[in-house]
Formats: sequence, structure tokens, C-alpha cells
Amino acid sequence: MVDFFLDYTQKNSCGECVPCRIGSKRMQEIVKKISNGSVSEEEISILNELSEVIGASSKCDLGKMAGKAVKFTLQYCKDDIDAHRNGGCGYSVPANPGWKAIVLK
Amino acid sequence: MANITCTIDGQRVSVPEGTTILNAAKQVGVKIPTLCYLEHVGLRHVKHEVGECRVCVVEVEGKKDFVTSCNTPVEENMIIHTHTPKIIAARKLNLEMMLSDHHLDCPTCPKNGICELQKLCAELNVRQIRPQGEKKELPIDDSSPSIIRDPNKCILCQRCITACRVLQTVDALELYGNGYDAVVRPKGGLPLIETQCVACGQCALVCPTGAILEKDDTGTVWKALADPKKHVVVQTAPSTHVTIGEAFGLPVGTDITGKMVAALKRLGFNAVFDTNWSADLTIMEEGYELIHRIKNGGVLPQFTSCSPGWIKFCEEFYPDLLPHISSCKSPQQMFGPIAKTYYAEKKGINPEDIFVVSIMPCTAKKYEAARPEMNAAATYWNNPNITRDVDVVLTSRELIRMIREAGIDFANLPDEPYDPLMGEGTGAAQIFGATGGVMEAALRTAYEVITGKTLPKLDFEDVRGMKEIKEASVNMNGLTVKVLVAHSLGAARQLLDKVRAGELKDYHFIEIMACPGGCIGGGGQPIPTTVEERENRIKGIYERDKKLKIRKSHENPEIQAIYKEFLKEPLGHKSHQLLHTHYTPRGKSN
Ligand code: SF4
Ligand code: SF4
Ligand code: SF4
Repeated sequence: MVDFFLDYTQKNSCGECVPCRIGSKRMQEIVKKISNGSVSEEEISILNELSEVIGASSKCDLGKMAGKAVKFTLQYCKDDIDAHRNGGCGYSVPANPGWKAIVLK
Repeated sequence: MANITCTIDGQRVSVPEGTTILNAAKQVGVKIPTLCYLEHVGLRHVKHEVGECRVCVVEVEGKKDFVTSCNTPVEENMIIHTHTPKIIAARKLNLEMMLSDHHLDCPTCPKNGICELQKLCAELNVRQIRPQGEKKELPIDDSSPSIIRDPNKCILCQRCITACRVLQTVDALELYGNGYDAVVRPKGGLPLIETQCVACGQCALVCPTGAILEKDDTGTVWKALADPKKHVVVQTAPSTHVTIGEAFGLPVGTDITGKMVAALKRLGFNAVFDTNWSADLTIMEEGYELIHRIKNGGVLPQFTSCSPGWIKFCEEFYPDLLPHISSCKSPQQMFGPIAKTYYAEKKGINPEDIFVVSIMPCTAKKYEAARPEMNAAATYWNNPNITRDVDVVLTSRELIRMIREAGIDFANLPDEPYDPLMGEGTGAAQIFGATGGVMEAALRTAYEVITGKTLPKLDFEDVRGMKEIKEASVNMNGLTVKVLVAHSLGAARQLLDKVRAGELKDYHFIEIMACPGGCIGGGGQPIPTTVEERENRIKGIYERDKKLKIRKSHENPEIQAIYKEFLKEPLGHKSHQLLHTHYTPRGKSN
């Protein structure tokens, strides 16, 4: 779902600011690696930083939301991500209870 | 206007309402880094503060997200922090993101050393590029003889778009596409040469990276200099006399004429001449043309024709006004055919062997020299082996690079004089380099030719300086000659619309320069070329005019000699053959 959202961001980003234009692309690349299980610890950490900075410094709400969505995902769906990294997701997205926490926030 | 008080990094500061955080911070000695922001694009009122790069972000207490300081005005009692760990990390990561999609070949990049992106990364201590991923591989656009675009180095700051659209009103560039695929490109994705681009190079002056620059022709000149068969002559444009020194640490506006001549001789040019000489020639032809038009009911007001960016602009957007433009070639293009005819004859050199190089402030001069009709010498001799009138045009920046390549210690060179025949230039020619200069030079000559009296005061202060549109009038034997001056194509457009509407019928002469400040602000001049630099260079121009012994074109002894020995009279047969031209209506918006 995050991948899908980043796709949406990329398609609709006006391309004017760096965090949204390039940052969301870089985030998406790492998220894709999470899905296929090839992500490294380092990449998760840079994804964390990217989401933080993109969420706070994008020009408009689209980029900010892209950053924040990834940030919350990293916070609340750690189990899901770990599952992916360990070679297989136990759930079909978006059944992870972590999402509830975001929705309730 | 009311004052606003805020706190920046613990310091209280009071600033007028509307002041940006960036400028308020300056007042308390805090420098917030910027990249895409540009205070003035060529002229003071053209601002560029799109907040694209997100490098100038700061934290404001009570606000969840960061704000960009370049375009956020301070509010009463705002508490601003400019360099918290979070902010510093964000700035660096934003730069890292930018670099993750950048062709980083700094050592071979033409912007190496003067690149703002490079400088900022050094300043902000960026040491790695952590986010990695797809890199764009876009084709380089070298379709124009003047400008090269390497979109792989573009950071999409859009400064070039502001220069082209707002300052010049040419609107040849656009931001296109979404997200990661967004690019800045010539309108419609066409090669630049197929757009209405006038080659003025104002985009190159403001580009913070190596994404837009002049086409480099230094290689061709090195080759010609090494060829023993070629007799390589060079001309130096008026504005270069006060700009080349900047690159070698001399104060902006320093008169380096003698040093430039010395440097050119050391580079191996066979003869070093001055475009000031042909500027004086231009005044003779253009002044007489004006007098002729006034006396014979010709098309008025007459427009000057020295600025090739302006010529292309008129051809593209105002083809109906082309008859107003003086038929005189620019000083550069008057020099070329004279070198290959008069000079060749006097020196007994086969014109086929003469290779003419120009040192110009201007990227559009490359385009001008490449125009197919600029081959008058070949026609004159009826010899197709003679190449075009001006073989290569180098911008100021390219000459600077050649001087560096040759290891010449420019700042410590002794002054050397130009060579005779086409080397003498007057103060009138010198001021061609600044906006209003061509007009002033023309008035100095026209007044004396029409009235037969000596001009009581040579300086026409009204047409000088950075005001966009200037005007003056002079009484000449009962006729009040009214003139206007515009610089930057946006300002030109304002005047042209009025001419088109028939509102400026009682004016006689209009000078138009494509670049803000005139040639001293040309698209090929040293970078940076800010408004302050333009002003200091203009000062340098008028100081040099004051210093010169002869300050009126018609008093130039070498100009008097060429009329006596070769051209016979202004607007004569040979003049028409070699020194005058015609224009081509172009453009799709008409
Ligand atoms: S544009 Fe600047 S940062 Fe990019 S390669 Fe050229 S010098 Fe380096
Ligand atoms: S050279 Fe001048 S006209 Fe052409 S794109 Fe650049 S600013 Fe626009
Ligand atoms: S070409 Fe240069 S000025 Fe234009 S958007 Fe790209 S980096 Fe900015």
C-alpha cells in the first residue's frame, strides 16, 4: 500500500521540490526492496531519515504526506517489515493491525 | 510600514513587515544557506524565490513542519531556529537527494570552481550520498551555436525559466512532467534551436550548476593559432575591457585593456585589434543613417542593431517592426569583413588565410556570426574559399579559460597597445559596453555633424544607469531629437508594444540591448553577474571613457583614414556591400 501511495505521489507531484520529486522516488526504491526482501539495515535507516526530512520539508502536503506515511509505516508496521525481510509476509496488506494505529491517530 | 519583531537564534530583531526570514537573519549576522533562491534576476525587480531546493529550511516554534526562509515573511514574535541538529541534517539530506540524481563529474564539468551546488556541498560539509537509486540519462542539447544544455546536471531550480520568461519575456523554457520525471526543457521538448530562444545567455548566467552554459569554442581557436598558414586576428568588445579582470582577482570594473592585449599577444594572435574601432565605424554609419532617415522621411524611430539577441527577438516577436531597425551590422560584424578586405589589402595577406576571432560578452554573438548572410568578404572578393566574416566568437568566460590554460599571470601583465589600422577606439566606442552607450555615442557624433558645432557637454547622464527605460532629448539646429533607451527584452517589449500602437511617433532613435545593464551584463560575462556587478562594471566603462583622449567617433583618426582610403563615405557603395545587412521575419506567434 505504501508503494502504491508513493506511486501516486510520483504521478501527482508537481516536481517542483527536491524532497517530493527525488526523495519520494528514493523512498519508493527502498520500499520495493523491503517487499522483495533484499533491503539492508542501512537502507532502513536512511529510509527513516528520508521519511523524516521529506515529511517536514516538502513544499506542499503531497510530499509531506508521502514522508509521513512512510514514517508511520516504519513506526507501526515493524513486524510486517521484519516479516518481509525474513523472507515472506504473514499478512496480505493491509491486514496488519499496525494500520489501525495510524487510522486512529 | 509597521515593524515586526522576532527572535532568530536567540537574538531579537525588528524588521519591516514583509521581510523574509532569510533577510531578517542577515541583519543579525546569521547566514542561512540557499541554492535555488536568487534575489535579483538581472534587474532588481525580477525576484526568484520558488523554494524548490529546500536547503534554506528553518524551524519555527509552534510549527510542526520546517519552513523555507527565502519566501516566508517573519511574523510578530516568531521564534526561529536556523541551525538545530534536525535542520542541519535536513539540509544535508536534501542536498544528498539532489546529488543522488546528478551526474557528478566535477573535475571535467565546465562549472568546476564556480558551481553553486559544488560550493554549497563544501560549505555544508556533505561527505556522502546515502540515498542511491535510478539516475536519469538525458540527451545533451547542443543544437544551438550559443548555448549547451546538459539536463543531467539540472536541479530544477527554475532560475533559467525566470530569466527567460520574466526578465526576457521570450519564454523558451518550461518545467515539464511530474515527480521524478519532471524536467526543465525548451518549450514543447524541442531542441533549443527550434524554439524562439534568442541566445541571450541570461539563463546561463543564473544557472547554479553546469546545466546551461555557453558552447565552448576554445578548441577551434587553439587549432587556428597553431596553424602556421593562418593569420589569426582578434577583436575585443568594449565591455570586455572592464570585465575580464574579475576572474583574476581584480576588483569588478577594473580597466584591464592593456593587460588583455598583452595576454592575447602571448596567446599567439598575429594581430590584436579592438571592437571599439568598429564601434566607432558603426556610429558613423548608423549616425548618418539616422540623419538620412530624418531628412528623407524614412521609418522612425530608428532602432539600434548592435545586440544580436535583440535582433532575433524582433525577428521572432515583432517582425512587423523590422523596418525600424538600422541596417547597420553590429560592430563585431563590421570588423569581420573589413579585416578580410581593407586589412588584407593593406597588409598584402590572402584573405583566405585570415582567421577572425572575436572576444565578446555575449552568447548571441556566436549565433550572429553564424548567420548565413554574414559572409560579405567572400562576396566582395567573389571567392567561395573565404570563410565567413567572423570565424569564431569566444565569450569573456572562454578567453579567461584560455588565459588560464596558457598559464599566463594575467593580473601582473604589463599594459600593451593594440595594433594599428583597426586598433584605435574612442571613448564613444568604449561606452557601447553599457546600456545607453550606443545612444550617447551616436548623439555625440550626430550633434556635431548636424549642427557643425562642438558639443558643449559630452556626457548624456539621462541615458545612463540601470533604470529599465530612459529617455533624453537634444536640440540640434532647431530640431529636437528625442531618444529612448531600453535594456533587457522585457523592457524592450514595453517600448515595442508602444511603437506598434503608434504611440512613439515623435521619437527618433531607440537603443535596445538584450541584456540587463547592456553588454557588461551579457550572457557570456564572468559568473557571477549580479546587479551589483553590473553597476560596478558600468562605472568602470564611464571611467575609461573619461580617461581616453578622443571621445567622439568621428574624431578617430583610423576611422577617418578608412573613409579616406577605402570606404569613401558613410552609406556609400562599399559601406552597403560590407557594413549593412537585412533581417528575416521569423516566429510563430505573429
Ligand atoms: S554542476 Fe557542479 S556539482 Fe555538478 S558536476 Fe558540475 S561542478 Fe560538479
Ligand atoms: S538564451 Fe535567452 S532566450 Fe534562450 S533560453 Fe536562455 S534566457 Fe531564454
Ligand atoms: S538549467 Fe540550471 S537554472 Fe535551469 S532549472 Fe536547471 S539548474 Fe536551474
